[in-house]
Amino acid sequence: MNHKRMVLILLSVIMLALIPAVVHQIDPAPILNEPISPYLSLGFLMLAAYLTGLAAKEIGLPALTGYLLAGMLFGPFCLDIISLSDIHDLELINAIALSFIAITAGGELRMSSLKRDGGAIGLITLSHTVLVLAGTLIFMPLILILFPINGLDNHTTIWMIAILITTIAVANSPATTIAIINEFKSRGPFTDVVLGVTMVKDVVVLVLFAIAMAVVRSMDTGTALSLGFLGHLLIQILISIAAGCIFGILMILFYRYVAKEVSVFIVLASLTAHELALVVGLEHMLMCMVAGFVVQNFSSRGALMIEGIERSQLPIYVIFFSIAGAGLDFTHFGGVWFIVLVFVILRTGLVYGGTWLGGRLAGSPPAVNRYAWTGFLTNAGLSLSIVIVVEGAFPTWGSAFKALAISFIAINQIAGPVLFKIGLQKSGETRV
Amino acid sequence: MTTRIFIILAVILAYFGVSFLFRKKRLSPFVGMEYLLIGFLLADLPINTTALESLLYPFLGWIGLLLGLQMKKEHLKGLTISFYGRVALFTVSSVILIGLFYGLAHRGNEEVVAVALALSAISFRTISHYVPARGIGNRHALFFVSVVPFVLLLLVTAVHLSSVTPLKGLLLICLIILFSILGRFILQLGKEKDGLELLVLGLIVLQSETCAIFGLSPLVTAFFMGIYLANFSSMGDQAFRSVYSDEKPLTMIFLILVGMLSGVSGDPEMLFGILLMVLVAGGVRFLMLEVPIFGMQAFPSSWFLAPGSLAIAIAADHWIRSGGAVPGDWFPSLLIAVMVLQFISSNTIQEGP
Repeated sequence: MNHKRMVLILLSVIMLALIPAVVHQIDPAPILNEPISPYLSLGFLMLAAYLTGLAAKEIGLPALTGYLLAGMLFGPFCLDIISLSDIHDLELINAIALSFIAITAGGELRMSSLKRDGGAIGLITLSHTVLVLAGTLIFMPLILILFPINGLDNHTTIWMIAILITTIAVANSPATTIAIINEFKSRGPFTDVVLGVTMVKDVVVLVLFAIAMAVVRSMDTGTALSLGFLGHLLIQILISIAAGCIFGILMILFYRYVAKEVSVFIVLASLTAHELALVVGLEHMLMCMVAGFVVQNFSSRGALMIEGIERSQLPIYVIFFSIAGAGLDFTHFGGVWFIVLVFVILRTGLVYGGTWLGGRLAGSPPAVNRYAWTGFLTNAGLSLSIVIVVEGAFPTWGSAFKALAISFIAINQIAGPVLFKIGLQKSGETRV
Repeated sequence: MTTRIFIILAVILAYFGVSFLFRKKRLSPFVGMEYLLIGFLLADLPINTTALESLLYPFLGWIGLLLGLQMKKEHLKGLTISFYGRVALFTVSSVILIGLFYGLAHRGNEEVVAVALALSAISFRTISHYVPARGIGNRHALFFVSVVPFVLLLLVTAVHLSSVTPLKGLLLICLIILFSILGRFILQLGKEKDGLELLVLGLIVLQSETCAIFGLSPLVTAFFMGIYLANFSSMGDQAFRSVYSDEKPLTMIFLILVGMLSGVSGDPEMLFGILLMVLVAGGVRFLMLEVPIFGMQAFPSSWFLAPGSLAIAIAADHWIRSGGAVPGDWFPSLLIAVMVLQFISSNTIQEGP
C-alpha cells in the first residue's frame, strides 16, 4: 500500500465532503439563489465514490466495495450528505445505469461458452436454487423462533417472512457480478459459468418472488391460493425476451450503418430501453440482457458494442453502486445483527453446497466447483426491489422484514464482491 | 414518460441523423446550430423545465473549463503583447459598439450587456474549418480569432463581478481558489484515462452546481479553474484532452437543452429583436474589421460573423442566473440571431473570397 497516496485520497474525500456539508448548513436566504440541486450530490458522489474506490484498491479490495462504502458513509443513514430526496431524484440515472449493466451482462455472454457450459449453468442454477430455497425455508423459521425480533411472535408471520426472505437468499446481483468481472478483466469458463448462472437466476427469482407473494398473500388474508398469475408472468417474460431481441436488432442496425460515438450511443440506448420497458410494462433488466446477447451473438458487431461499453462503464459503475450504497438503510442492524449474521453464514453454506453439487453433477472444472460460489453471494438491486414491494404490501410486519432483509443485503453486498474477487483470482482468470 | 422517450429519440436522431445528413457538405450550414433547432421543436412538449435548468449549469462549467485549460503560459508566449493588445481592443470595442447600438432600442435593459458580450464572440471553429493555416495573413486571422474568446471571458468576469454584491464577489473568488486547489489535488489521483475523465466530470458537476446555488457564474469559475490547472497542475494537458474528447456530444446536448428552455415564439417583438441583433452584429463586425490596426481588411467581414457556441454559453450563463424560468424575449431572439449569423458566415466562407 502506498501510504502517501492513501493519505492524499482520504484528504481529498474529506475536502470534497466539506463542500456539500457546508452548503447544506447555509440558511437559504439571502445567500442562496437556487434550491440545492440533486446534481450537487451527484457531482460529490462521483468524486468521493471514485476516490474511495481507489482507496479500496490500495488495500486490496475491489473498487466497487469502495463505491458502496462511500454511498453508505455519505448517504442518508450515516453522514446524511446525500439526502433521501437526492437518491429519489437520481433514480433515472440509476435506472440508466442498470440498463447499461444489463446490456453489458448480455454482451459478455457468448453462444460458444453457453454451448460449452450450458449444462453446468443449468445444473448449478437448479441445485443452487433448490438447496438455498429448502435450507432457508427449514432453518429461517427456526432461527426467528429461537431468536425472536421485537413484535414478531406470531408463527404465521414468521413463516411469511421466511418464505419471502427465501427469494432474497436465492437472488444475486448481476450488476455486481458484471462490474467485478469487468474490473478484473476476467475471461474463461469460470467467469462464464458465474455470469450465466447469475443471469438465469435473475429470471428464476422473478418467478419465485411472484409465487412467494401469492403464497404469503393467501396466508395473510386466509384465502385460497391461486396460481393463475403465473401465466401472466410467463407472458410478460416472453414479451420481454421478444422486446429484447427487437431492441438488439435495432442496435445491430446502428452498429452496422452508423457505428460512431459508440459510447454515447450505448448510454442513450440504455436510457431508451429503460423508458420503453416502463411504458410497456416489461422486465427491463431481462430485456436489456437479451438485447446485449443478441448483438454479441447474432452479429459481427459485438466487439464494437463492448468497446462502447468499456469507454463509458466507469462513471456508470461509480454512480450506480454509490447510490445503491446510499440507499442501504442499515440503521436497524443493531437490533437484528445476530439473526442476520446466522442467516448470512447459513446462506453462504447453502450457496457453497449448491454450487459444488451442481458443478460436480455437470462435471465442471475444479475451479468452478471450488470457487464459483463466491460469485453468488452478492445482493443488490432486485433484492432491494423485493424489500420495497413487501414493505408496501404488508404494512403490519413489512418494517420488521425490511430491517432484517436490508441488513442481510448490506452484509452480502459488502462481503460478496470481496469474496468474488478472491474467487476470480483463485480461478486464474483475472487479467489485472 | 412518453415525453421523455420523445426527447431521447430526438436526441438520438439529432446526434446521429443530422450529422449524417450534413456529412456530405463537410460542415453543416449552421455549424452545429441545427441542434438548437431541434431544441426549439422539443420545447413544445410538456417538460419540467426546472429540472432541465439545473442540467444547464454543468454544461456551462464544461465550456468554461475547456477554454481555461487552453490558456497555457507556453502557448501565450508565442504571440506579442501588442498582438494581445490589438485583440483586446478589438473585442472591447466590439462589445461597446454592439452594446451602444443595441442599447438604443432597448435602453436601460439589463440584457444589453449580455447581448453585447455574446454577439462579440467569433467562432474559431467556423473559420478554421475553411481558412487554411498557410500564409501569414491566414495565420494572423486564425490567431486573432483564437484569442477573442479569452478576452471575452475576462470581460464576462468583470461584468459578473460588477453585477453581484461584494459578498458574492468574494464568494466567487473563494470558489475559484477552492476548486482550483481541489482540482489540482484530485486530478493527480486519476492515473487511468477513464479515471481522469470521471474526476474531471465530477469536478465540473460539483463546481457548477455549487456556483448555481449561490447565483454565481459556472462559466467564469470553471474558466479560471481551467487556467490554474493548465498552468499549475501536472495533469493539465491530460485534463484538457479528456474534456476535449467529449466536445461534440456535449455541445450537441447543450444546444438542444438551451433550445428547449429558451421559449422561442413567433411574436413580432422577437422578430424585431432578431433583425436588430443581426444588423447590429453585422454592422459592428464590418466596421471593426476595416480598422487598419487590426490587420484584417483582407478578409470579408462576413467570414467573422459566426458567434459560435461560446455566444450561446455567455448568453445562457447570464440568462439562467437572472431567473431563466421566465424567459425574456432577448434570449430566444439572440439564439435565432446567432443561427442566422452562423448561416451567413459559413455559407460565404464556403464560397470563398
